[in-house]
Amino acid sequence: MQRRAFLQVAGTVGAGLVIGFRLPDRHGVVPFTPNAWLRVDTNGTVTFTIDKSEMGEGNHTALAMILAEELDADWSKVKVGAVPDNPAGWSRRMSTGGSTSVRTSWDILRKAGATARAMLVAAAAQTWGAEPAACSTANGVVSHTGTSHRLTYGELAQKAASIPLPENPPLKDPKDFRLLGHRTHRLDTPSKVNASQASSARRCSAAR
Amino acid sequence: MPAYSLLVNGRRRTVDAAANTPLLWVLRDNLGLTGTKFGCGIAQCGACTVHLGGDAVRSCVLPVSAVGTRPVTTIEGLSATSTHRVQKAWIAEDVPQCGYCQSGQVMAAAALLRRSTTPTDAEIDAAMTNICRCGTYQRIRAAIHRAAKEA
Repeated sequence: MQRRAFLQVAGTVGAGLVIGFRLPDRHGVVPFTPNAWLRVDTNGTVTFTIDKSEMGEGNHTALAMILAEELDADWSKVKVGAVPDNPAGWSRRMSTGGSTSVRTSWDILRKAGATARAMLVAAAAQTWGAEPAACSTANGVVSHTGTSHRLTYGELAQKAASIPLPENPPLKDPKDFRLLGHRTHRLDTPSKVNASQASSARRCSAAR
Repeated sequence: MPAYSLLVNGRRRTVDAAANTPLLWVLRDNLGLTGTKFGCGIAQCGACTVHLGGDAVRSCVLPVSAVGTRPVTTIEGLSATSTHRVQKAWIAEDVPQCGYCQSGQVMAAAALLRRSTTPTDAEIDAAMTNICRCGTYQRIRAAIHRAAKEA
């Protein structure tokens, strides 16, 4: 599969960094129609939008963890966005089931997260006149090795949107995972204890 | 249709409804408070649990005409900032799965802790008769114990 076929910068106008990508399904990838988006806002919020239903299995949290791991995002600033009604280019073929969410999304979510991370690092390196290789990331911050330079992903988001998509951003060695394999709280719990959740049942049935 | 003056989540609300309309539908349809869920409609599952005068009641079988002057509290009104100790404990224990029954579970637990400060497992099991299809009962128990400690 060509990388261009599943990744593109989706928009830049006042939105920070937005990358659209496509998780695999049996319908193929041509023409490119994204079914997931990663957005880094200028306030540092990372929003992950995907056309999978969260019906209590925890897949939204699990998928966001995969993305956030490679992005080196600040987990406290990661959220799963509401699925848009019908944006242009949105895949209308949605399905969730068969324990497929994580196993079909693993590779591409990692690549999407790593792509955004590389663009944020490149933006920081340009700002400092430094080599990207001399920059490190953790918890939503890019730091320059050897100096006290540091910039948050929010501060870098706008500039990162103008960086060309990197061809082969490095993926982490699993031994370096900080989120995956570690217990985290589910992202959907707060909305389920204060009545703000728009549940699948609410959307689909008379019980609203 | 008669008009009823209800005190809901601290606000005085007037609704026009038939006398035998269940409070649940007044809350959801007349007042737009859709956090309280319809489950079985026969007071068995507890998804519709709200507080009436501080006690847990199943609003799907409570006629609006029976509410009288007692204040009604729904999940929306439990805490203005979603920081009631039961809500905090629910988050700490990651209680919900699908979430559909959880408004009722939270309201039932809050009412239990109002009348019993440190309920035992047996008291929790006796009081928490709400049904959860996902089977979150173990975490509900743990969360109630956690909330009791934070009192």
